[in-house]
Parts: sequence; C-alpha cells; structure tokens
Amino acid sequence: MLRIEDICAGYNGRTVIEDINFVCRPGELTAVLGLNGTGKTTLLNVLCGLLKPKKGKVIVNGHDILKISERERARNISLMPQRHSIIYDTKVIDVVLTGITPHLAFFETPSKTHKEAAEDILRMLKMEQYSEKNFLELSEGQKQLIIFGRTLLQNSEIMLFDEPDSSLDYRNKHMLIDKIKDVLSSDQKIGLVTLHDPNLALCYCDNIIIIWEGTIYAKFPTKDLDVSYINRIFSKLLGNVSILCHKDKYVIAR
Amino acid sequence: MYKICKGSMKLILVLILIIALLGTACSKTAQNDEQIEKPTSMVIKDHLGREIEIDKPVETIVSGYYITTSLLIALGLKDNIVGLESKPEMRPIYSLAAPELLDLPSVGTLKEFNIEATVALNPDLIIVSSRLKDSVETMEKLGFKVIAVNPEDEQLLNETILMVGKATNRTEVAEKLIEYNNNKANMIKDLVKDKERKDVYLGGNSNFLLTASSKMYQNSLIELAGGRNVAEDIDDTYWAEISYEQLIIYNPDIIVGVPSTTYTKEDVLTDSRLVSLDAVKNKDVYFMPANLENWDSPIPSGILGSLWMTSVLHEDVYSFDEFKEDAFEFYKEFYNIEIDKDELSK
Amino acid sequence: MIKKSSNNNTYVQIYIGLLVMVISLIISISIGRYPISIKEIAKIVLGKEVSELTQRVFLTLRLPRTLMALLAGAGLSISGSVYQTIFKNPLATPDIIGISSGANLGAAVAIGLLSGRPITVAILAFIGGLLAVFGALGLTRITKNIGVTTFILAGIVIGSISQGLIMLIKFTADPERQLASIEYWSMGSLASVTDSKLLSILPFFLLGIMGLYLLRWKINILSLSDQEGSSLGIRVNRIRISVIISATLVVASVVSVTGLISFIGLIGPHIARIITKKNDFNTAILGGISGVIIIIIADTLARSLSSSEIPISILTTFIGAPFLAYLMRKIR
Repeated sequence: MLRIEDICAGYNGRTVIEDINFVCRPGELTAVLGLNGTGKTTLLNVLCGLLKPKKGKVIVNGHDILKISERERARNISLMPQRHSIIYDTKVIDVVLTGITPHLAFFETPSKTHKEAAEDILRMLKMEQYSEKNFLELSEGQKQLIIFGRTLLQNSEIMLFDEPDSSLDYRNKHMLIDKIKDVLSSDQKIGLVTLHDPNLALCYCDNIIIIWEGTIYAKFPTKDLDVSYINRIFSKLLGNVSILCHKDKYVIAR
Repeated sequence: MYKICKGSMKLILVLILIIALLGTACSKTAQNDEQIEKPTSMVIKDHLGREIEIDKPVETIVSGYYITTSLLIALGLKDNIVGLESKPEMRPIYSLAAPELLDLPSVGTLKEFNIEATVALNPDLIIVSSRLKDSVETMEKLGFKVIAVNPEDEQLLNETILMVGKATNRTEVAEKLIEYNNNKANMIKDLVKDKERKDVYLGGNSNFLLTASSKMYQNSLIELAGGRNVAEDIDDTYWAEISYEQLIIYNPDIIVGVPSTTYTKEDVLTDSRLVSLDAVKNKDVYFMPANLENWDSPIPSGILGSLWMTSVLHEDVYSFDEFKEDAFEFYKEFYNIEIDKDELSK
Repeated sequence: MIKKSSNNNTYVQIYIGLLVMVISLIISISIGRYPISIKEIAKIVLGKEVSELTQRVFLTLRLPRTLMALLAGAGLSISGSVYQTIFKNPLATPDIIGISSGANLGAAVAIGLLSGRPITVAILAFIGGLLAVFGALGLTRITKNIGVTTFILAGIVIGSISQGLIMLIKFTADPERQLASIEYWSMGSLASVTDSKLLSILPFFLLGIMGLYLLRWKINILSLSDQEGSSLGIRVNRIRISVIISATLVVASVVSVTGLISFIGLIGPHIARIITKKNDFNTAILGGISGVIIIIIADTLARSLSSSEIPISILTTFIGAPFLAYLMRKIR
C-alpha cells in the first residue's frame, strides 16, 4: 500500500505542488491527469526520490521511503521515464538488464541468473527475438516496451510511469497500457501513471487523480461513475465536452 | 561469479605480464652490484658536484653539447669522437676543422637526449650539459662515465676546459688554451683601460628587440671590450624583449648583432623606426660574423668574440686587421686550420 | 536454453585485440637506437645470459618505454571511454574536466618558474592535474542542482584559468630555453621514460584503474539520464565524482611522465564501439587495447622517421584526425 501524505514540493524555492494526499492499493492502476505544467512530473520526481519535498511523507507498507537509501527505495519504487536516454549502441538484453541495478551489491555486476531473468521478461513481452539487436534500431513502440521491461526487472512493488504513451501510435498506446495493467494485477503491484489523455485513464485505470494548479482537484475511482460527475469534473479541465458511454466505459468527446 | 572471472581474466593476464617482466628486472639488477677493484688514476669533479673516476685512458668520447665538441677539436681529440649532438651541419667550424664529424651518429639535443643511441656507441667518456641531470644519472646507472658541464660564464668555461683536459689526458693543451685566453683578455684590458666606454646595444638572434640583460655572458663580453651594455639595468630575465621607444631612450653609440641573426644589417640601417638613433645615423652597426663559430657564447674560442668587439668599439687601439691576424693565429694553433681572413666581417 | 550471448563475441574480440597488442608490444620493444635483437630479449626474459650492458639497457630504458606506452594507451583510452559514458558525450576526452590543462600548468610552473628538472616537472604535472580536477569538482558545488552540464562548465572554467596562467608563464619565460621546453612537454614524448619513473607512477595508475573496474556497472548506469540513474537506486553525483577521481588518477599518472598525448582518449573508445557495437566496460577495455596499438604505432614512427625524436602528439594527431573524419561518415 502506498500512502502519500501532505506532499509539498517545488524547484528553486518555488512551490509547484502542495497538499498532495492520496492512497494507492495493490493491483490498481491510478492515473494522474492534469494539463501541462501542473506538477505531474514533479510528483513523480518526489516519489522516486529525485526531488526532496519541502514537506510530507511517502509511506510504503508503514515506512517513509523518503528516509531510506536510494538503493532501498529503488527496490520499492521504479520509474519508467517519459523518454529513454540511451545514446550509445546497446543490446536490447543489456538495456533490460540495467533494471537489476538496485538489487546488486555496490561493486557487483549482473550474474547469469540476472541475465536469465532479463531473458524471461523479454519472453513475457514477446520480444525475445530482439534480445541481441541494437536497441537504437528498434521502433519507438518497441523501445518503450523494452524500457518497460527494464522497469519490470526492477521488480518493485510500486511502479511509476511518466507519460508512457507519449511517443506511441494508437495501437501501441493501448497495447502498452494493457500490458501494464496485466502485470499490475497478476503481480499485485501498485501502478501510478501520468497521462494527458483522459480517455486512456477512463479506459484502463482503476482510479483517477486530477491535479489542477498544483493541488489535487479531484480523485475518484473509475468504477460505477456518475455521468454528471464526470461531466462536471472534466469540463473544468477540458472545456466543453460530452460524455459517451460505450461497453460499460465512458469516453470523453469534444 | 563466472562472469566476473571471465571479465577480470584479461586484466589479470596483462597485469601478470607486467609484473613478470618487472620481476625479472628486480632480480637481474640485484645480481650485478659487485665492484671489481681497479687502481684509480684520477677523479674529476664535474659541474653537478659529482665525482667521476677515470681509471683507464679515454679512447672514445660522445659529446652531447656543441661547446664541448668544439673543445674536443681544440684539444686535438677530434679522432676520438664517436658521437655528437644533433645538426652538426649547422656549425661551420666542423666542416672546416673536422668534417668527418658530420658523418657520426647523433645523440640528440638538450631537449631530447637519446640515451640509447649514446650507450650503443659504448664510449669511454660521455660529456653532456648539466641540464641533462636525469640522463646523466641514468647513464651512470648503466655503467658509463659521464661528465656534466655548465659553461655559463668565463670561469665555468675555464673549469670545463680543465675538466675535459684532465679526463682525456690533455691537460697541457687545456692549460695552453686557457693561458692564451687569459693573455688576450689582459691585452684587451690594457688597451681599453684609458678609453671612454661606448654604449652598446646588442640585438638578439631571432628578434632585434631581444637583448641581453646584465645576467648574460654577452654583458661581460661587452664590458671586457671597453663598452657598456645599454640594457644592463635589466636584471630579472636573461634575454629581455624591449620596445622601440626604450631603444630610442637608450640611444646607443654602437649597435651590434649577434651571429646568425634572422635579420640583416641592412634591415637595421633602413628601419624607419630607428632613423633617430645615433648609431644608425653614423652607420655604427656591426654584425658579428657567423662563418666559424658563435663567439657571443662561452666557447673555447670565445675570446675572439671579445677581440672582435674591442676592434669594433675601439678600432683606434686595436685595428680590425690586427683582429684578423689574432683570429687566424688562434685557429691555426688550436684547430689546425687556416681561416680565410677576408671572410671575417663586421 | 540460454542463447549464446554476444558477450562471448566480445571476449573473442578482446583476446584477438590482446594478441595484436602483444605482437605490437614485442615489435616496439625491439626497436631502438641501441641494438637488441628479439633473440636477446627472449634470453633476458627467460633468465639466460646476455651481455650486462644489453640487459641493463633493456631493463632501464627499453622495457619501461614500452610498458609506458602500454599504460598510456590503455589509461588514456579507458579514461576517455569512461568520460564519454558518464558525460553522455561521444566527443568527451579526459580533458573535459580540466586535467590536461592542469597538468600542463603544473609542468609550465616547474619549467618556467622552478628548476625545470624532469622530476620536478613530473611531480608538479601530477599535482596540477589533480588540483585542476578537484577545483572543478569543488566549483560544481556552487550550483544548486548539480547535473552533467555543471561538471562540464566547471571543467571549462578551470581549464580556461589554467590556459590563461600557462600563457602568462610562457610570456615571462626565457624564449631561448624555457619556452621551448614548455612547448615540447605539451607535445608529449615517451623518450625519457626510465624504470624509476614508471615504478613511481604505477601505484597511482593501478589504483585508478582498480577504481574504474570496481565501478564499471555504475559507470554504465551513469550514461542514462540523472532521473533514470536515481530511480535505479544510484547516487548519481557521488558516483560521478568517484569515477572522475579514479580516472583522474589514471590520466594524471600517465601525463606526468609523458606530457600531453592527444587523441588517444577520443578515438580508442570509438574504435572499440565500432567493433563491439556496445558501450560496456569490456568495450572500454578493447578501447584500451586499441589505444595501446595506436600509441605504439605513433611511438615507433616518432623514433624512426628522423634521427631526432618527434613528439608523439604530432603523430597521434595525424593518425587521429583523419580517423575522426572517417567517423563522420558513420554518423547516423
């Protein structure tokens, strides 16, 4: 269980987000929605330890993870970044293998067992035939999938995803988030994903948190939603919209 | 574990290679420290304060310094030289007095002295500049006799001459050379003692505005010859670069150019920035000849530089023809050549 | 079944590289103005009788020179590879953090202001390199959020200050003697390597290489963004500093003996990456091997092209620059 308590954070003296409080449960995927610049990435940076909050706690199973070592934290929380930053030719299997880092001792390098675990993940993602290929030569969608594989290898209870769909086409967007959902429910992990598209959130996520001007504007589960509630919330965020219902799911259209 | 082993193997392999080779080094040098007792003939103290034992006659010599190479010729040892400094073709005196030197192997310069090349010649004696202290120590370690010299001024030059003379059993000639120099120096002193000192500006080799400060040998050369170095007030560097304005303030009586300048007498006489100088107006601009040796440095024939300067400054008491005679006599006596007197210029 | 991974290929490549390197080392060790045949070398290594002088020349001059070529090629190249990785810049060289300028300044001070004796020059060059890097590292603490750019900027500041001071020293130096010596030092040379010089820097070199070896996995992670590194549990800035210090020990120990040798740190790693198509520590080692081979080629030419020794950077530049041009063709 992940509990965010009173988080208040920002850069260079400014406060970007404040009064952030919410709870995430195992097996659930929570979406964090918000317009550009509202503080979604700031929140993720706090959660994965990159940014020290001015105030607040992040509690995982009773421990405040902001107080533990980086390595310890990385074993509990992993982050799939918005953009990969690989600039040198690297074998796909080696990209996935970097995910094992938090589980290595200080001077340790990955062993055969670790390598096999990475191969398993590639197999699970149905990408094992790319294992020896150069990562930089894959398509964008395939690259995202491999980065997802790296995050999986980290095997943390909590997985954060920073706009994982941003450079993907329609099909790959859905494929990726679908896969994320699968893993979360089969391994009972907690997932937190920042998204732009509210439809993806409504379609796949169990909970939605909306950030507006640095604070939580709304948070609600996506099950058994009231149409008028959705309408009210989202028109503030997105303007004049209409809500459609399709196969038990809601879709927002302009 | 397996991966770590495989990965470190190459590093360990290379390290073992290095350690093995170094190991043979350590064991070998330890074995060869026994000294064989030999009757000592003489001990020479060089300019690094080291004591060199010469226990057998010196037959083969390597000279890494143009000054000592010239000295060896003067001491009659040109046939004993087996290796010398780089670019001997730049020194006219070799072509004249000992042309066979030009075909000998070169052992490098003061900047990059080649120890291996020197050692390959297996000389009985090695003479180098004291600036090569580290090379001296290494060659000593390899078992060679090395004399380090530093002929920076007249006294050190005389010491160098005696050192080399003693080591090569040519003390007589060495002393004769020093005596000759001293006699000529005294002669000059007598000639100019009542004369008024002339102000002299000395232009440097690569740059006319580069002049010798009071710390340089050239300064004493001017003083001896009855002149005064206008730049004698400079004492914080060796060669000092001045400005045209400074030179105009100095306004020397005589302008002298060192041997082998990159500029000519004409350049100085026609330089529009110098027209106001007395020396230029009176055409008292003289360039030391370079067709034999560079007499502005402390070399065995350095006295000729002073003689030349005396003749230039005080021609009335020491004519240029007299100088030519003295120069001819010197080279005949010590270098066994007959120089062309007409080539001596000013 | 575990697929035979490419790592086996890399090991094959490294072994082949080692073979070529050992051959070139043997060739290098048999070249010199003092005649020593390969037979005699074999005799010395095997402990058999050779003339005492030949043995001494071999152990005091020839062997240290070749070993120094090994250390220089490997050290500069591996450091270059490491810097290119942690600064995420394929054009990074060991000087990105200012070490070459610092060492150059140390040497200039020794030659221009002090006695200029080789041992003084070596010590001051070593200290100068270390001080420059520590200065740059200290300078990074001015910034609130330290990132890669902070280090690069600090390196530029320290490098520029060093260059300025070097110019000042050159200006006041005696043009006939000191200036030439300073210039000569900055062009690099293996000519005056002796056994004592080699042994005195060896501990620092090995210490630095050991540090890089132990941190090799983390170096890999540092090639990712700071955000990713942090989320993988690494204290990014701390590791970066540790890596820089280790690499600095390696480069400073080499440079204090040989002077500045250009291009090895830049092209050695690139050659390796083209061969292995990866960027891990094994690739760095292969880069080190390539660096050794290049230096040996350059040093052999330096000794044999003319009767005097050509400074080695002249040759590494003429080998390296065309190679960079060739790399331009391969840019994606």
